[in-house]
This record gives sequence, C-alpha cells and structure tokens, in this order.
Amino acid sequence: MLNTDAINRRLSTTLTSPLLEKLCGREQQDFLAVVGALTLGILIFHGFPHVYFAIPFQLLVISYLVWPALLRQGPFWFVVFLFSSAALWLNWTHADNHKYLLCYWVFSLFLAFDNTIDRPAFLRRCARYLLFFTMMMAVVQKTLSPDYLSGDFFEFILMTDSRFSALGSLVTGMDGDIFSENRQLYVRALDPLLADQPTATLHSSEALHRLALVITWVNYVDQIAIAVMLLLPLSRRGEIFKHLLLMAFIIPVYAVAPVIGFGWLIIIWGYCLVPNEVAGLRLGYLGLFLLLCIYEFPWLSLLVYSP
Amino acid sequence: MKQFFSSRKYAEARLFLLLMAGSLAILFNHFYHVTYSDLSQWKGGGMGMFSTQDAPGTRVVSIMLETPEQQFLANSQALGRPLAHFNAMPTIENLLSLCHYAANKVWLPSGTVRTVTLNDQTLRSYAVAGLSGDKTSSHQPLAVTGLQLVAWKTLLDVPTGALTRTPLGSAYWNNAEGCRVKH
Repeated sequence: MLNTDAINRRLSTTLTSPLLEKLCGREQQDFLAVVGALTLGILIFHGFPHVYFAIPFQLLVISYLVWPALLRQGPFWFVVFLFSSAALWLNWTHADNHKYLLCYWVFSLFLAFDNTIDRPAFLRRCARYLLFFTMMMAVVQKTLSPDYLSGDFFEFILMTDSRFSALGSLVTGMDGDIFSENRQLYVRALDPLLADQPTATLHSSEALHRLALVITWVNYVDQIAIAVMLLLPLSRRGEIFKHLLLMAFIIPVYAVAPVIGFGWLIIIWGYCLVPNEVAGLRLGYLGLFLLLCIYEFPWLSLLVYSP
Repeated sequence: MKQFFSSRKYAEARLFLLLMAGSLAILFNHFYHVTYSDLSQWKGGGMGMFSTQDAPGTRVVSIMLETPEQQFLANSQALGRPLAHFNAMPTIENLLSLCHYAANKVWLPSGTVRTVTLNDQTLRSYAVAGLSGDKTSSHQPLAVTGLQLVAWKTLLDVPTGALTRTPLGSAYWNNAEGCRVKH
C-alpha cells in the first residue's frame, strides 16, 4: 500500500547531500541555476538547426563558459530568443512544435530576469501556462482531427513508422517482416516515378488495431487529465499525484517517440512546477532528464528485429 | 489602484501577458491557415503533431523536365524552401511560386538514371537532373523547354488498408506561356 504521508515527509525533508539539495532548487539562486542550465542543455543538444542560430549561439555558449553568471542575465536570454525566433521564422516549414515552445520558454527566461518581479514565481507561472497550452492544444487538435479518435492515426503509424513498428511487433507478436513490407509499399506509393501505378494494400491485424486504440485513448485521456490538474488548486497530495501523472506521461511517450528536446522541455516545466514543500520531487525530474538520454538509443529494436 | 499599477504583481502580469499574446497570435495564425490554406496540423506551432496522418511527408511533388532530346526527373529535394513551403501548405499560390522557382533554375544532368520496377515487373527509367549545388556530373546546362509539376498526398484508408492518392494540383511551364496551374 502506498503510504502518501511517508512520501510527503521524505520529499519535504532537507537532503543531507549539499549537491542534491542544490539540485532540488529550494533556494532561489539554485532554482534559477538549474533551470538555466537545463534550458541551455536543450539549446546546445536539441536547439535550432539553422546557421543563423548556430553560429551566434556558439559564441554565446563560449561567453557563458568564460563568465557563468551570464546565465542569470536577461540580455543573454534576449539574444538567444532573438536568434531562436529568426531561425524559427526562416525554417518554419521544418520546425516541429516543440521548437516554438522552446522559443516561448527562452522568451519567458528573458522576461523573468526583470528586476521588479519574483523570478521563480514568474517562471512557475510561465511553465504552468506553457504546459497547459501544450496539453490543451494537443487535445483540441486530436479532437478536431478526422483520423485520431478512431485509432486510425496510430494504426497507420504502427504500420509504417519504424520507431513504432518495433513496439507493434513486440506487443502483438506480428512478424517484423510484415512491418518492413508495409514500409516498402508505403514508400512506393510516395514515389513520383510510380504515380500512375495502382497502390498496394497494407497489412494490419485485429491485435494491432486494438493496440492502436489503447495508445490513442491512453495518450488522449492522460493529456486531458494533466491539463485539468494544472488548472485546479491542489493539496500537497494532489500536487504529488499531478507530478506522478506527468512523469507517467513522459516515461512511455518518449521511450517510443524519442523527441528528446520536447521531453526535456516538459521535464523543465515539471521541475519548475514542483512546490518547494515537496522539492525532493524535482530530483525525479532530473532523473527523467537523464533517462531520456538513454532513450536516444534504439532500445526497442534491441528487443525486436526491425529491418 | 495606483498602488496596484506600481506593484510587483502588476509587473508580473504585464510580462506574462506578453508571453500569452505571442503564443496565442501564433496559434490563431496556425488555425487560420489550417482552415483556409490546407496547412498541415503538424506545422506552424499549433501542437497538432501526432494527431493526423496528413503530415507534410505525405505530400509529394513530382517534377519532370522536358528537353528537345529527352525527359528528366528533377531532384525535387534541390528545390529546398519553396518545396518545403508547398508541402506544408499546398495552396495554388505556393504551387505557382514553386513552378516559377523551378523554371528559373539552371538544371544540369546528374549523370545518374533512376530505375523502378512497375507493378507488372517491367522497368521504368528516367535520367535525373539537379541544380548546380547538387552532385552533378556535368556543367553543361540542360535546354529545358517544358516543366511539369504534379502534386498529391498519399493517405492510408486504415479500415481497408488501401493507400489513396489525393491530387493537390499540377503546374506546367513552357517558354511561350510561362507557368500555368491546374488545381
């Protein structure tokens, strides 16, 4: 049986290790240092792949290495924001949604270094808004989509996307060669030289259809639940439950679809939203930050042969 | 009231509104273009990734070049941003702009031939042409007399497993008439 009081006590106790205590970010300067460093990590490893961003950002990172206090300066984040938005503007046809979110978050960091405000409280507010915005809009788009709620979208992805096919094969027991053939048939249908040729029929199964429906609805309901919980005033137990729900969203989603930059961003927002009374939970988010690095390995294909 | 406007809360609210206004403006722009310009839900900052099959990758443009001697398959990846723009938002205007862009480029034979196996197991081959920035075997520009762009999206009808091609329009160019679009 889960003893929530014991968890509560454990999460609110000051940690004996000074390093872990710093990482918990109970003090304002520790909190800002961790959030700034994690954001810088996303920008370095999963930032904007455009020369207009990359070159000035390299110079900014070198400046930061020379003068680490730069991370706590509004103008630093303003310059990063300017180049991020320029790269996004020029490359919008390729940019995924989390690049927009990263840009909004960098803008929030710039605003947070205004001298007249409570910085951690402001960042918490921005993180809450951006996480709500992300979850709510994802739910709206899925509701409006002609092929999401029926499970058709995820069935299509399981049939044709190699990242998901390994999961499909593992869960349903379907032969990996079937998924491989599906991908080949799909690629043929996209080939300009075969545009006048009749297209083929892809292979599925009842089990794959059921798996697609489960993924569809678990993802949909989880996003609704997170969005609703972000709006509600919660007790300390409720807060813990909310963060466990968010972690339960991050762990499976990014294991299959390793969009690490997006996952890291959600983790930073989760970190910001943890109340100081249960600051120990922030270590959980830092653990997830590391877990997502492991996810970058194609671990599912180690379990199932995926040609 | 005066106290509120000089308070920390007011400063925070003002800055927070800036963030909200920026993100909502981009969101409205996304939905406007999804509704009126067939913008893919995956693009434009509307948080619609993994919500529909209709991603830019399902949209295909075939570009054929005509010369007095033979037809060439254009390496469409060479068309970079205008092509990506059309794939994200396949409007008549974007197809026309892609047609103008392709027509104004200097095409070079790449020295390679693409061969595919048709459904009846016969072979079909086309010589490939690229732009000067591509790996091309020749510096001798092609005398292009005509250009044909055909665009479609490929979607899977999941219950039947059938792949369907939905036309998105076609465009033609020749020296005499310039670019013409059929949607």
